[in-house]
Amino acid sequence: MKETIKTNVKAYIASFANMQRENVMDDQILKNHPIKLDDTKLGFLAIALRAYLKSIKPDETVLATELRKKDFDVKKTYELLIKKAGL
Amino acid sequence: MKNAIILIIVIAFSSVKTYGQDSTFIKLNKWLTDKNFAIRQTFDGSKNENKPASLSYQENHKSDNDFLNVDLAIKLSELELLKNKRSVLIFYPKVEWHKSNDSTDIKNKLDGGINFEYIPFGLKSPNLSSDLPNKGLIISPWFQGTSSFKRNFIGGVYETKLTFQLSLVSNYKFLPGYSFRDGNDNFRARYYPYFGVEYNHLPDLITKEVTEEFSTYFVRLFAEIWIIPQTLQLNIDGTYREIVNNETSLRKSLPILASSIYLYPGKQESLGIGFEYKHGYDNNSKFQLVQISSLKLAWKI
Repeated sequence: MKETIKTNVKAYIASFANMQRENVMDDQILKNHPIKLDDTKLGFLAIALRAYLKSIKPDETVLATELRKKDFDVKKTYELLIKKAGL
Repeated sequence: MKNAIILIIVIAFSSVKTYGQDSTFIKLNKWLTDKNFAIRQTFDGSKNENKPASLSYQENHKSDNDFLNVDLAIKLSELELLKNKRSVLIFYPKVEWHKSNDSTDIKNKLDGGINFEYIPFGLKSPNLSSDLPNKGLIISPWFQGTSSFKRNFIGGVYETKLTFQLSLVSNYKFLPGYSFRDGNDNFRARYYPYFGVEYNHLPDLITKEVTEEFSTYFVRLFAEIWIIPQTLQLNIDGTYREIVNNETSLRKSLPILASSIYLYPGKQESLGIGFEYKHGYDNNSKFQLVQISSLKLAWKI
């Protein structure tokens, strides 16, 4: 299940950033090169990941302010969802 | 001007040289990051578009003036509401300082206010597996509101500005907010349109003891282009603003175009040097016609 969440979170990030999934790496920061999601897109990504998390654990949520932290990278993003999913 | 150019370049490159080390600059950046602060040129509603805070040396082509300019804005911690909805609503306080020793427009303003951002709907995204939740619009609106209460130390007066604007965003090809990429998946460009209204209360704007109070509507287009990925950024920012029911001594239509280019040496995007050319009726310069070139030392977190 952890691996599935990791794969799916990367799929959402790749889709919102218009990147190839294989080019989305764990240590890439969401706001920086090469992903370069701005605060607006991160707000919309939070809504998408929130819906995904709620499909696994309805009481949990993802916040835009969590994803907008300056050093928040791909790994921290999927780990956040894994943790909130209770895994 | 030559000395100022050299000074700005030396400061930029000496700062970058120590960037990878455990420098005061990197410690300060980390502390601000940990506190979830953000630093930009302004948070006047155009805030998400990567204009860094700057110390700049400017040449006014409309006069003989060369002058120094400081634009520094700090976004403090954010308050997020609607945490379990398909929407995002965030409030945040900000503090700004804008100073200029241009003799035709001497400026020293401290600005505080609360801004908000509202994303009412989700955004559909392409190339996702059909078993993943993917509800939302192909192109979605989002809203920003800004309030700005300024102490103008030059005239000893208080100014007020309120702005409300709508923009559009999408994950689909060529639409606003779409990330344009090259064959190596490097980010190359994006753009956003804006439509908004604003209210201004400005004592002593043109004439001493006279307060100009007026509202405008505006349309704006912002584009960000990375000529060299992670290194050389070009920004184009055009606004057409028109005063509604003009009873002021200002012109009714107030277009302005600003183009800037920033160089971020050393594979980092926090500290750089830039050049900006601005021509038009500037809402930050008494809504008068300006034609200004600026050399900038820029800082962004």
